[in-house]
Amino acid sequence: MSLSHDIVQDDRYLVRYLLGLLPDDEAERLDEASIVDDEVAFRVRNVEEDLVDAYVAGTLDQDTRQRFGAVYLASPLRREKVRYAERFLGAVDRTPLSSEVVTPRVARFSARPAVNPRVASHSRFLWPLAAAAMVVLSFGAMLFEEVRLRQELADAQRQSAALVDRSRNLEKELDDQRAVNTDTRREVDRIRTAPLPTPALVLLPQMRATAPVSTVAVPSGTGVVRFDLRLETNDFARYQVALRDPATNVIVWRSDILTPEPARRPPTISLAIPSSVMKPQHYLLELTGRTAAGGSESVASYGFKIELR
Amino acid sequence: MDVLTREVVQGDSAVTAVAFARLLDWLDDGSNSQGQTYLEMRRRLVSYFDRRNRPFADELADETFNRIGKTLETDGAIATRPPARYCYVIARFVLLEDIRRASRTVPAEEGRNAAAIERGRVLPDADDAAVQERRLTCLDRCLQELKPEQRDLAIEYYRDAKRQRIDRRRSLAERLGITMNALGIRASRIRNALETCMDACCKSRG
Repeated sequence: MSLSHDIVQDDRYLVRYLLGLLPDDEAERLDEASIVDDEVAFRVRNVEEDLVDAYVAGTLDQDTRQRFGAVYLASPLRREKVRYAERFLGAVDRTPLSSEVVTPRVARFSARPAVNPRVASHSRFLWPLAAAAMVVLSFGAMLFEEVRLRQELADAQRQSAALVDRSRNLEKELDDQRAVNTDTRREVDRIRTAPLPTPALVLLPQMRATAPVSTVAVPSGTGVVRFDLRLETNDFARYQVALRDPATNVIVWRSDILTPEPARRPPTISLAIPSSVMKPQHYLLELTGRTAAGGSESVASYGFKIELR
Repeated sequence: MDVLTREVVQGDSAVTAVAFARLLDWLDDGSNSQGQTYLEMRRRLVSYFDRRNRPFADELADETFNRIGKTLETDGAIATRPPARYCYVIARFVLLEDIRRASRTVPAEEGRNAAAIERGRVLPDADDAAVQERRLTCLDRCLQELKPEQRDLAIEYYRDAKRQRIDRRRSLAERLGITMNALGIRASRIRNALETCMDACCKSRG
């Protein structure tokens, strides 16, 4: 029979080892076996788990419990094992087997005690435990309430921050919209105040004095009045136009040298006359052709009437 | 850990990738456990140092591995077999050295813990409620993530107390056709895996 076989058969011996109750030489022998011998290593681990579970469940006898508190709990790592056992056994107790009927979990906090319920069954410490449990529960409730309030505060702060962000976004959108509106208004103003483009009035050369006279309606604020003078023939490279007041026979305005648009058919002379030089009356446009030698020849005349609106 | 010990451990802690790879191979002793043997041995060493009341058992376990790794790196091989026995030999040296160093100083942390325990503060490192709740949530989730047969085994093995627990385990072992020891090993591994899962879950949730 091997050493390890002897050891693994005696849980109480291993418990004494774990609680530091073995003589040094025996403890050292177990130290080595718990590292070198797989069977001992796992057995020591199992016994240690059961020892911790029994402490959590409150099923240790008084001497063992005191020894456990004095020796085992002296180490942070071992205290962590106890805490894990509390959680683990609680989880095991809450979890049904696959074959068991699964009941819905409600009231999570009440269904999941901080201390495993196995502890409460330890009758010798019932009243002190009950009192301690009340304190723990009260403290736990306060903690829970504080956590809940902190959570609510954090939520409220998050919502507040979100509202501030939203408000900023809306303000920015509003500013953008205002800027757009300002631009739009400015554009409208510009269009409103800008001189309206007026379509060119197409005038044909007067053939007869009795021909009807074209009327040009000039809106108020119009800067220039445009004319397209049709030519019967395009005999000159350059032309000039004079605006004559037939009532006074005075030329009130004269154009620069003009050239017909080469692609336009029939040939046409385009010009623009400032509306300021014209009054609501009849006028005569006299078209002359300029010769290469510097002379001029009368080509045609175009009559029209101005009406101000 | 007292200052002197910390300095010594930190000074020896630089193990190269080559040394670590050789350590893993050496621990596997011909098999390929994909690091499982290393993890198991580290756990045993940590428990060993902890049972000897060394306040920084994790670091001493790592120091043990570092020394073995350096030996493997320089000598290429270690004659002592099995590897676990050599681990114990080195761990014992590390333990004795740590005890000798600690006797020269009184770690303030250790003294404070002992005083707290004497005053009846059973679990002085208790988590706050939020951490506790997060751990419980994670543990529940990890338990649900187990395969059904593993979950059932853990529940049946660890449920109840005392007599009922023993009877239940015996019945379970018979049903599975394995020894009680084998059942215990299997259950312990699930319990350990759940703890690892819970820790990882808690870290990921910050």
